[in-house]
Amino acid sequence: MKKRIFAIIGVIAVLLAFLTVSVSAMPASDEVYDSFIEWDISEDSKELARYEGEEKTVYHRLNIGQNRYSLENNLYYFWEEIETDYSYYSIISSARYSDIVYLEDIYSGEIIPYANGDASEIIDFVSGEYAFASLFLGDSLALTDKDFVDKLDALSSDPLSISVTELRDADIVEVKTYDSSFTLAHVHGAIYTVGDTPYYVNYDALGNSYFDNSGYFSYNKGVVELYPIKGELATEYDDLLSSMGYYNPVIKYEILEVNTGDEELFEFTKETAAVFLISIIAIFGIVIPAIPFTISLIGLVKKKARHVFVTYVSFAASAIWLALGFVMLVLVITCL
Amino acid sequence: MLRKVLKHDLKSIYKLWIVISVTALVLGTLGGVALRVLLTPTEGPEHFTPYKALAAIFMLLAIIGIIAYFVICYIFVIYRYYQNFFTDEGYLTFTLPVSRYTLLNAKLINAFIWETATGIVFIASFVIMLLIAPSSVSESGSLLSDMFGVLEPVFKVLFAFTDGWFWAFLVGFILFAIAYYVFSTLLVYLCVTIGCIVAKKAKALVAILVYYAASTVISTASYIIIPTSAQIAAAFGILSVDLGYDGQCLLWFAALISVTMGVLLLAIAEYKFILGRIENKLNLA
Repeated sequence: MKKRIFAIIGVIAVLLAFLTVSVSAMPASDEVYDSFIEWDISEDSKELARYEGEEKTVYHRLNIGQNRYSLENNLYYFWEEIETDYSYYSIISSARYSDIVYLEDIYSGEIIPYANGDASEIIDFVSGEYAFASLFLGDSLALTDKDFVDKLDALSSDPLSISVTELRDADIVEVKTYDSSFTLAHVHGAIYTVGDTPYYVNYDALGNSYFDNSGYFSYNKGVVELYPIKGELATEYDDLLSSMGYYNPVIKYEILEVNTGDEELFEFTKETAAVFLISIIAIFGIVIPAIPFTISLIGLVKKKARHVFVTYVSFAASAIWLALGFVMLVLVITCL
Repeated sequence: MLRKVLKHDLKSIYKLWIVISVTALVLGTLGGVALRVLLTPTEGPEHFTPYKALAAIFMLLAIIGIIAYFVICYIFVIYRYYQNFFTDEGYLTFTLPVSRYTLLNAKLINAFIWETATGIVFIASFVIMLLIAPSSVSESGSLLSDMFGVLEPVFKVLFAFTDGWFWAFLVGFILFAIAYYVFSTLLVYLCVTIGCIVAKKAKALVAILVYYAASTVISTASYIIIPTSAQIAAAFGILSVDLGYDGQCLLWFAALISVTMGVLLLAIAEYKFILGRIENKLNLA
């Protein structure tokens, strides 16, 4: 019995030595990653922090009041989803302008911008200053300038008081403004065609009662004052309509492959896969079957096996397992 | 002697087995009729008449009955092992001029025969049920034909994809299934043996508890094995690209057979343990 135990220990020791040598002979694996990007939001949702290894960047929530803000046709990076007390949000940032990060409500699509330090373009924009403007109709757009929008805002004569329910089916062209990085858009107003005359309404000048919970103009009840676009302004408007071009409103998202530090599977390179597999095969394909192989071999050789047939079967099965272990080891090594 | 012991074991069960198997087949037939009533479209605005409600309940009962048949047969085979070795009948069993080796092998073969036969009757019951299903909801004439129609292209694609290795893997999976069957049957026998050795009273209950503990250990181990297997598969996938098609297939086939041998060795370990315990019983062989 003692000899058998020492024999088993000796076999295991030899095989472990073989394993150690084979593993140490492999080239050292490269580090897959040594930092990860993680996001955290404060309890009051006013601060969003980004942690990249030891580095921390804080973004502060911008108060944009009513909605009607939307992301512009751009490439956005999707980082991850985050939960607050209010809803679930996607954390996205513009490929064009990295000082601002947006939380996009996955249910309503509402945008909440968070700015880092010197995000003056966005801060000015949500305060009312804008760099670009456009007339927007479905999938068509015509860029215009601040002068045109100022002229629309200055309209004050011959107002038309009309129930909002009558505007539900009217032709509408939105007047949109943009920040200088062209990532965030805001619906500033709209031009409705009533009869044959275009009428303008400045949404930003209206009270909250005209808008629903999502910030969109409500056509359910109420009376609104519209101002007719006449004379030179009407001609300018018609020219802009004629110059409208196709505009793809689709937002492109790119999911970044950053490790969040959670239970992500280890990412293999060819070298790390080889080391991993050689270790697994050495343990489960050689070391482990060597134990029953040795025991049954000793039992058969010394003729001390109590159940000879069973011992033969055990010997054969462990021998096959051992042989296949070596076959797999050779196959893996030939891949390198 | 093995043949005589096996014959004795088979004779002790066959009458009861025939009765409950015929019951299962009858349930399959009646379930098929109920399914036909359920699936046949009715004219008029009412789609769910009282007859259909009754048919739905009956079909459900038929399915439960067939599943219960399978479970009952399985439990009965295990009970025969317990009764034959660890009850008063065991005194008679161990006084027979037969080696423990032969007794245990007979039990194992007996289990294999009855479980295979039960499996065939189980499948036949459902086949009967599907054959009786109405042709009005099936283009080919029966639901069973539709099922084969779905499976056939799957096998064709599989064979085209794996070529000759399909047969190698098929043999490999059959060997694995046999090894796993032997392992799982011996595991149950092992738990019964341990329960009967450990406990003086309520042996069956202790055996059930031991089996539950063993199942928990195995399922806990699977929480480690499954993600590790995924990692292994991912690593295989990365490296096997350079091996070519045959090299990849050989690698996976070798892994399959290795796992099969491992399961077989576990089964052998269980067998030896059980044999060692029952050899302590009185033996006149």
